[in-house]
Amino acid sequence: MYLLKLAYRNFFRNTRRSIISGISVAIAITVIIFAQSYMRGVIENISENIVRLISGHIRITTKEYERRERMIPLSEALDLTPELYDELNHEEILMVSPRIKFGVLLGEEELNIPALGYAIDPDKETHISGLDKRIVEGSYLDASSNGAIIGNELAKRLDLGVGDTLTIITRTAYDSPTGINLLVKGIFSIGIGGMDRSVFYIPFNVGQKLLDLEGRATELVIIVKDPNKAINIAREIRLRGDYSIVPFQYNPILKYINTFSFVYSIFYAIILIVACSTIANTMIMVVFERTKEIGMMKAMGLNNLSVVGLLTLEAGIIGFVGSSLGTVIGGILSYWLKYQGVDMSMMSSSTSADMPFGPIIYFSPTPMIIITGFLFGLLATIIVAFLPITRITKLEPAKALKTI
Amino acid sequence: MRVLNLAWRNVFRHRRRTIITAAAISVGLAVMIYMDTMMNGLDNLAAGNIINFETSHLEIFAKGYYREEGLFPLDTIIENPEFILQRIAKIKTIKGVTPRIKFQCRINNGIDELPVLGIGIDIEKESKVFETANTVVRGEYLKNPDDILIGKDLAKDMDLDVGSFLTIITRDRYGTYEAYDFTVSGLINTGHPLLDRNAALMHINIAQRLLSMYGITELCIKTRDDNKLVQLKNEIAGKIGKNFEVYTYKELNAGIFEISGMKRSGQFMLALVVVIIAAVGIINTMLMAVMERIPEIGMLKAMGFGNYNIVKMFIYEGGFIGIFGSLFGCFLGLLASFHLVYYGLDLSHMLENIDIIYPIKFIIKGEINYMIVLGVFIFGVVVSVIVTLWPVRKATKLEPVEALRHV
Repeated sequence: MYLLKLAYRNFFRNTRRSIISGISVAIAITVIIFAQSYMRGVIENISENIVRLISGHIRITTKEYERRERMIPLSEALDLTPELYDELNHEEILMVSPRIKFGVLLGEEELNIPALGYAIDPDKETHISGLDKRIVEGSYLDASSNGAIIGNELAKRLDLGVGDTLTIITRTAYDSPTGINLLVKGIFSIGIGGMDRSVFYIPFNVGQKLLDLEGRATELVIIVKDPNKAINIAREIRLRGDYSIVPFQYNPILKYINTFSFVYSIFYAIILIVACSTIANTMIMVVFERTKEIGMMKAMGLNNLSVVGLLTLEAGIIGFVGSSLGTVIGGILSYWLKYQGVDMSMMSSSTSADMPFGPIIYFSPTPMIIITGFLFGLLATIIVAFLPITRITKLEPAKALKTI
Repeated sequence: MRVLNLAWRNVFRHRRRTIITAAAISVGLAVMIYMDTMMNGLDNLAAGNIINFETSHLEIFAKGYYREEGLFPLDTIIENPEFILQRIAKIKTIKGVTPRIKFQCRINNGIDELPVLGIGIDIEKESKVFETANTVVRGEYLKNPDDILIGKDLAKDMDLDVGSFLTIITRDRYGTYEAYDFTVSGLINTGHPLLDRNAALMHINIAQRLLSMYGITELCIKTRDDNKLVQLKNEIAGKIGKNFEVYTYKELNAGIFEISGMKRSGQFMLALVVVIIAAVGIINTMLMAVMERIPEIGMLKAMGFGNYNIVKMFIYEGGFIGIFGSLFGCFLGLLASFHLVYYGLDLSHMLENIDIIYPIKFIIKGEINYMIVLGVFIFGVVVSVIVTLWPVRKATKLEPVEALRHV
């Protein structure tokens, strides 16, 4: 206990030096917590958009469809049999919604614009994609009438407004030409460039009729109670036939981003190392200027362990103060931006539909990020301080007392 | 000179401390240089792909054709390219001009269909502007009228190979559906995702027949001197009159270069944090230097050393640390950058099938901007000197008598 008291007093012997050393740790920890909360925010943002707009928590397609997905092969649609729904009767599954995705070239006369159509169940999708809340003009789809909702950028490109007619000409699942005229009921804006520029939605039954897919869908989107269990649930689902059952966590984009956030940890390490160099310097100084004092302590019977302990405690106090300060600042900033959000619409308006990156990023700090940030700062200081400190053990009391 | 000498000796009084302080600066600067090299590499690769395969340096359109990226209207086309060619024939900085027709279409292999960008090219003039002909990895370049070139990724996705038949379906200028059968004559591998995954190249006269039109959508111009692109653009614009418009490749891909700028500033901020932390380290070191030398400073003052000289001494000292740190930092940064320049960073396994908008793939090779390296070096030294000023202020306030008595 007296060691702690001594270390505490030593901290204030050269207050300014201690504070400056603490500050470099504080800056590093602030940045690390801030950056991690940001990265997590980005990943959550993309995950949420993938769940909402692309795959739900779990997506079921036929194996062949998945293999040739880029071509959107309608002929590989799955059959919506009662047995299939029976097999999907799992207590964790909240909702199963069929979708049909199809590609078309839209446009009046001189314009050809490739677009992606989704035939969806309007009522169920309000709980999945929440598209009804993204309507900026007109109204949302309803299952009973023929209508379409289209992205605002696409509407602009096609020069269409609410009440105009959208002409869709494409091919059915059996490759024969087909077409339909639909009233534009509403215009939506999701804030993701790729989607607003190229996507439109029509009611599920209209899509089935248009594409000759009665009783079929290209994909089944599943919403579960606990998204974290999606991987396990996907594994538990047993279907007869060649189906591909993929939880959203296996989405290639998310995998890519997770790799990317790993690259960032190298960066955190660099920041921490640079911050620790200040601590190392301070401890070298401390050891140097107190050689005499330590010699005296040793002469009075303090053993090596206690001397090391004393100096480690001193470094620990610097680390503790710096790390706490950094944690508080980083934490406050991150929690503030968690509620405030950062507008990234400049970035998101130019993203593709593959990388659904929403316009506003909400930072996502977790207790885990904050606690590990704090511990990293504390541990790193102690470890770095240790090297100069251990030199002290080699001092001979008599010689140490004689130094200037 | 005397002061400089003194400062030089002081730097080596605590060798270890100097080394650690300087090393912190080095790390910060090395990160800055490495990131700049990487971003230059990314930009160059992207710009190179765009210039060599997609738009060339400058493109001439009919007035009103270019509305936004990714839109290929057929109502406003260049009906008579000969008129423009004559007008710009005498401009010496133009290296080559070639006409192209770009149109949205669907490619059909008999089973599946995919939307792709159809590009009609003039095979004789094309090679003066674009590198396409040099990237054929299988089969051969366009020869017969019904030949088509596709990217090797597209071929893989659609199970096509040299000799395969495919159909291009589109709507012509008047909105009528048209289809035309082609034979794949060759596969190209350009490194530009648009061409490798999303495009099909055919003879320009076939494209004209397919779209029921005589003109072209654009004239692509390659320049000899890409530093004077804007002058050339203005020169051409002056000669061809009000019915046509000229755009540089940067204007046509503003989105990509904007993203790149944002990434650049984001990464620069991160590197800046490292430098700031390192600067705090310098403050700490200089503060220690001042504190431990209080009696010495008192003595210097008593001997007639003015405040001006004291400040100068410490600034030189901070400057030396800054120079050591910056030199080593530039060395480290360049070393890492050379690795990036000669070996590159292989991202192909990470990006496989993801559309990242940035027109690149495979391996990122860096490019070192030596002006930036110089700038970073100066920045490191200047920061070191500036942060020294604060701890040194204390030394100037010392009274010689009191300072001498200081323990």
